[in-house]
Amino acid sequence: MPDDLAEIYRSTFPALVRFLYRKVWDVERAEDLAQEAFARAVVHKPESVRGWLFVVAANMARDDARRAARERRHLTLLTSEPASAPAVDEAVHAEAERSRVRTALEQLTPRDREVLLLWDAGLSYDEIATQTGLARGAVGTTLARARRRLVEAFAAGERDEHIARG
Amino acid sequence: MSISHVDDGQLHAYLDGELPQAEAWRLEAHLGECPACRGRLEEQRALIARAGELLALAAPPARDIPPFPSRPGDAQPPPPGRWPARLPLAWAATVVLALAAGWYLRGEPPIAPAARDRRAAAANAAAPRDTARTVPTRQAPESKTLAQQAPPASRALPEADEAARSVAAAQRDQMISGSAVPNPQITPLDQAARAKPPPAPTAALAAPAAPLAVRWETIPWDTARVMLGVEPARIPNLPAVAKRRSAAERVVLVEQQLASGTVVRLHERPAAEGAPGMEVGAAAMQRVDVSERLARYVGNLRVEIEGALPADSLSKLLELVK
Repeated sequence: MPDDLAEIYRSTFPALVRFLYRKVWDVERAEDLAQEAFARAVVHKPESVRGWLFVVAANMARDDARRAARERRHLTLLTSEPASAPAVDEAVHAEAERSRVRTALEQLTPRDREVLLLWDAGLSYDEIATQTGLARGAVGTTLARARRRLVEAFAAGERDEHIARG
Repeated sequence: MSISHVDDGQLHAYLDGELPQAEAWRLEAHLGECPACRGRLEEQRALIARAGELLALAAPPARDIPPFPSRPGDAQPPPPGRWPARLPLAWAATVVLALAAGWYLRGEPPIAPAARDRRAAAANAAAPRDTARTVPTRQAPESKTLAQQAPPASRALPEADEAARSVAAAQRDQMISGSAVPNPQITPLDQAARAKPPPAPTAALAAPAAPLAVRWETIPWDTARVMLGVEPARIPNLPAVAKRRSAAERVVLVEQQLASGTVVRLHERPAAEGAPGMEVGAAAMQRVDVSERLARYVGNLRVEIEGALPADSLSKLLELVK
């Protein structure tokens, strides 16, 4: 493994996991995909490693979601499949918040969500522009819209829950 | 300052520290003389902070960074050299599967089904008793036994059982007639049995391993090599013992102790005989009540793992096969 890649691994792996987690919503799966992305980077030796990693990771997460949908059907054949480990240590409150944020994120357009998650993972406007094909000047506008919609969707979700609870 | 009011995109870029220097200076100049835009700047600053908070709520739990992966598809490489003293059975499954897949992919030239049928027929003519027992029946009784002994899995595989039955019937017919003409009924089924694609989920059977009723005698490694014509397949860096059932039956069994209580068994026949090249089984030898058994097809290999497997290894295996 080249030294610079080892350095990128140390500095970027957590960000890549965070990025993937908001797509697959399973930390172990996110780590597996992040490692796979790095393993492929060893082979492909891309010029701009960080941006390349996020492109590959985004593609893998998309394929993974499709495969997961397919596998759910097959796995019903295997009776001894355990349910995924219950989040016993997680505060119920934190779990509820997480799922509310997830719901809010899912209300964004795919492009707005992608740009927001890439920024949150630490990519620069230049890197985001390269990856998404947006003009650099449009990244700020997209982020402004994505942030506003996320905050609004989250607030709307909270409001609805309060109404539902009476 | 002559520029008009700034838009939200510019404000976000500015607050993110991503506005080019010249634009940032112009923006600051405008803010200096426009209270409305200063107010919007603070609004957007709060919005950015709030969006960041929300995203942080949906952050994955903090975990240590795992070691760097070495190869694609090998996110967690096995420790080099020695095996750890106590190897989990899930690892045994992984090793066995990797071995089987490696064997399957080592580039054995495919034998045309028609040619194989002719060879089988010729063998039947030459030695009707012996080969009739080993060659034509190798698929059918095994599959039938599996189907009978493992009702939950076989329910998912009615076609496979049907297929096995009709192959058996077709092969019996062929034996009786002694015909060397390739039987069109056999070919597609035979191909399916030999070249079953690894990802096919229906190829997964949860079934008991064939019982080792016959006693196996230990033979020198050289003898095993001569019997097979090639180096017998085995897991590297692990002591191996070669055995055989009888001199007549050309099946080599390689036993390797993986961990205390866990033995990997590799069954291999000479490739020229066209038999399923190798059966792989990992058995917990000292356990009387075996809690779980697994069998998977990797290509034309039957991979068997027997022992107290963690419940999640089913899905791990499924992933590995893919």
